[in-house]
Amino acid sequence: MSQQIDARQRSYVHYYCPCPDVSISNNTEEEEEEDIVESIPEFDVNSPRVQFSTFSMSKLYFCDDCHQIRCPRCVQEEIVCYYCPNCLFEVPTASCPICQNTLSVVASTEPPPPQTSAPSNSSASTTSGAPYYLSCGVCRWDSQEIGMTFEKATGLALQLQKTEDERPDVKEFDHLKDHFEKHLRLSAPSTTLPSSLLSIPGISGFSNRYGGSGFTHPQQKSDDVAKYDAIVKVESDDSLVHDLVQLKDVNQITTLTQRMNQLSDQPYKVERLQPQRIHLRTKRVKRCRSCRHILIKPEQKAQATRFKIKLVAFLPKLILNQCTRIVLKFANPLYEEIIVDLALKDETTEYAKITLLAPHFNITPYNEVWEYDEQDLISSKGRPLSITSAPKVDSGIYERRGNYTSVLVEITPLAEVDELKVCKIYYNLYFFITKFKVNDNDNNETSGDAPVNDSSTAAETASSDKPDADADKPNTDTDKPSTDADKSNTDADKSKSDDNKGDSTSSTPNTKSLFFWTVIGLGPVVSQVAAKPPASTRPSLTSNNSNVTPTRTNVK
Amino acid sequence: MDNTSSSVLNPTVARSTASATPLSRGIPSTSVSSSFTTGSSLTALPRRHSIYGTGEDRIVLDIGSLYIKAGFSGESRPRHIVPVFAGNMKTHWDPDFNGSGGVVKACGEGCRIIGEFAELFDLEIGKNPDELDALYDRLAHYLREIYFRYLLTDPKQRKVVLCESPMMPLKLKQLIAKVPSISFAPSHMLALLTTGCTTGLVIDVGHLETTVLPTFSARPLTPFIRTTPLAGRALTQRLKELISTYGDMIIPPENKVEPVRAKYLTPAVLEDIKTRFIFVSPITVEATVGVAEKTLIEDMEKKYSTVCSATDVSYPITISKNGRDRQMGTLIIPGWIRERCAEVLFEGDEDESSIVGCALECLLKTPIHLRRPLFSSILLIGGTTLLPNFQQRFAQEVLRALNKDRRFNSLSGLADHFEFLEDNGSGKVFVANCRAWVGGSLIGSLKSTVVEITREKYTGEVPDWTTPNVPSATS
Repeated sequence: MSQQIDARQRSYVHYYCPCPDVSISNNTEEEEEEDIVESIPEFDVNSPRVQFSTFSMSKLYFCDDCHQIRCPRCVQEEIVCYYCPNCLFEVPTASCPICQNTLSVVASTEPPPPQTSAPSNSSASTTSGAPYYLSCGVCRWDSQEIGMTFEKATGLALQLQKTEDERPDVKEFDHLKDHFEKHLRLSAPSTTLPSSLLSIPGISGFSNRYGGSGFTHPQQKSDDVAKYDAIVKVESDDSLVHDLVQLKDVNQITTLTQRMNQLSDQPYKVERLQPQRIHLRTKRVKRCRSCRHILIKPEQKAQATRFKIKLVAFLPKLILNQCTRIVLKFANPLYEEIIVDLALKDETTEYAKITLLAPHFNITPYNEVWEYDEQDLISSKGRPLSITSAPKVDSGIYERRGNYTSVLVEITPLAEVDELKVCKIYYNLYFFITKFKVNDNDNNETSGDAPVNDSSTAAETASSDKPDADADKPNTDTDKPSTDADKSNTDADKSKSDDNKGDSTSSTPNTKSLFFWTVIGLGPVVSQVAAKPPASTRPSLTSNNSNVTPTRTNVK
Repeated sequence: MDNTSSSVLNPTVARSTASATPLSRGIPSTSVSSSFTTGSSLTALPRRHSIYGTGEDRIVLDIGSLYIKAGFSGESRPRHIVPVFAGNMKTHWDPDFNGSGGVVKACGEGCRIIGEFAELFDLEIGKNPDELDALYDRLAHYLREIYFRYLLTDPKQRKVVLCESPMMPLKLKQLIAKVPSISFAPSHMLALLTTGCTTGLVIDVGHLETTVLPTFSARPLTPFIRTTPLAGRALTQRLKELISTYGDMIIPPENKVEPVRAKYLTPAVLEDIKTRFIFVSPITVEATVGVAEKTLIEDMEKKYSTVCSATDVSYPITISKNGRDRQMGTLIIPGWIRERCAEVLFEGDEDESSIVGCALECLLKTPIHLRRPLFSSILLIGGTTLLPNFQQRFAQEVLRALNKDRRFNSLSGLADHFEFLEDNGSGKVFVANCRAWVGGSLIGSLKSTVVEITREKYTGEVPDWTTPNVPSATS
């Protein structure tokens, strides 16, 4: 049981963005009416690049002007404001050096413990009797341990400024800078920094590459930097090896995380850690890269969670319902009907054979009413148990309810993978191409009743001239309806162009075909029988299936 | 390639000509630039302490195969060292994935990292064009993360100084293409500058390889460079072999002592152990020939366990994880492994010189009159040199090799002049893994024109010592 939970947590649905305007792909895939499988952009599921080109729904946007899905790679960002993740103000406090949680300022009720008043630390002068210190509510660390206390409860950064300025690396750095600046002034005011300090290549005498003025007599003149005397000297800690030899408790040594939060000295010993500033976060505007229109614009105030502009992708939302024989639930977030075509990249992958039982189907538009009263609106429902037998005329529609349509996908495991011995197959199911059509009139006033654009729906339903035996499966032929719909919609578009935004081109057809790959990861598929003999034909997936209750899993 | 790389750091380079003035179009009155200034004026602190870096500061990047160091020029340390993972940061969940804290840095927006801690590139980069594309994706992803999540800055207006190792793949340099302006600077040289000197033998023990580059009077003597693959990765490999052979695990609930299963030794766990508990033994084990010879894994326990005093360490390790429930086991790391694992760096053979051998071979190649100044100004940089006692042991091994190894007979007169630059200067004021970065920050802040390649002039060519002159790169 716990294993199933695990599997559910790991399953995901990711959408592929081909980034048409960023990459150099020569595809002109916008609004094509060809056969689906032919017009699919190249997609190799085994490429390591897939990780960087597939995204969860929450990261996708939709550009209204380009009619394209925009992923993080094809938006450009601009920072709107900075804020502290802790208090949502723009005033940073400190984070715990041990566990990186937020520290709070605490007033000490009693005089500081004796060891802090000992002049062990550089800030010892300010410590004696100072009433405030930083404390971590998570790991119980407090700044008195390292002798850091404050006189006031506010303006901590300013109070620490002095010690910060006296850090040896800061002082040495400034000294070095002066040193080299002086050298540059004295030696060759007109020339650049000796090009040998930059990427040049080569050995002395060869470096005439960048014009070489001033380098004709490198040895004699400008070249030798005067002798440098350091102003600080940091001795290495010889006791460290000794401590490491006798190490008992692993927590005495800092982790890399802790060290990387204190880059000035990256100490090995925990007692040298200091509280650090909290890393700020940003709110960002995101723009479409090709047309530079804003896709996302948050409120400038950190506390506000609203967006001024929010054009998130309205792809049909895929929800994994069942992880073995998969039930894919498509949710329609729009007020218009969506027609979906599914296609597979490869029917047979290394691990399994995948069959789409319902390659074409439609999804009824969204209607708010369903939020409240779901029971009555179940239009039809397949019998979940009957599908274990060969799928019949209901053609793989599992369930239809509200603005959801659930379809079945059958997976037959083929390979007896060695991982079966360990009871785990890490199983990625990546295969879908989803093509869907959507009526694009977003500017429709949406009243309470179903706001389906009449023309387009009519066109599409009318042209479904090949009615299937099953009533559950409406518009099967996708090529014809789309062209028909396009025609009728261009008319509709012309008539409505006043309502639309002025800049929208009237030639844009209202019914839009978009398609994209989806990568569906199922996480590890766990076999219930621990060591199954490899001879058995139907190992993990189906045996697992029988135990799975058809619970809904929302995967984002 | 050209076209794609142009957009790594510079999203404004769209096809349209309008991109030249990115902020001038179509932005409502509460524009980004205005809020930016309010943000920075809010901190009325000295320039150095500005949280966002001020406008003139360049971005300084030191891109390694495991860690990317990033920050602003004019600062004495990088702002962030970002570890590199194989995957993409996709979900927001659970910042520590490795029982004992892991290596994930709080990056602003808590994101779990999917995929193993893995090298960004290999020495054989570019062999296969697909990998290059994948690398491009990863690099672009990381640079975006670094700009927006870590440095919190806008890539459009920032000039960049890139610290490059002499062995940095040329392909990688071309990938990190057009920003408003980019300067490439050799990392050995930069590291040397942080000591205030311009002459020295810089030994960079990184992750993939060790590179030894002599620099004289601010000129990297690139023809004399020597490299060896004995570096961080070899150390990790050795650590893994030793722990899987000699380590033990205690797995609840049985609490029996079991041999270590390889699947628990993830790269992140190994990196954690390596950076926390490994040190270089102060005692050399006498070898029969000059440079310490290689020992088979099977013989190691016999050879080392008697001459070690380090304690065994119980390391908590995640066995399985189920949401928030985590089952922890214990990995027992024998003390002698902690102490002797790093011997791998000092053992060489004909094919792979040890680090010491590599340094001395490099010296042998240099002209005689340069040897003495170089030998008395040795600088160790790179993350692997942070192992406690590394420098002392290095010195011991050098002296031993001079005495014992016949190859280095001609150098033995120099033995008295052996010195580290740090000992005469400011000591370890900068951490060795950041020295190259600090040098980049230093030259980025100098008030002089730095040789830079501007976006307009970028032709797809980058300067490199392996390529002929690049005419476009003028100052």
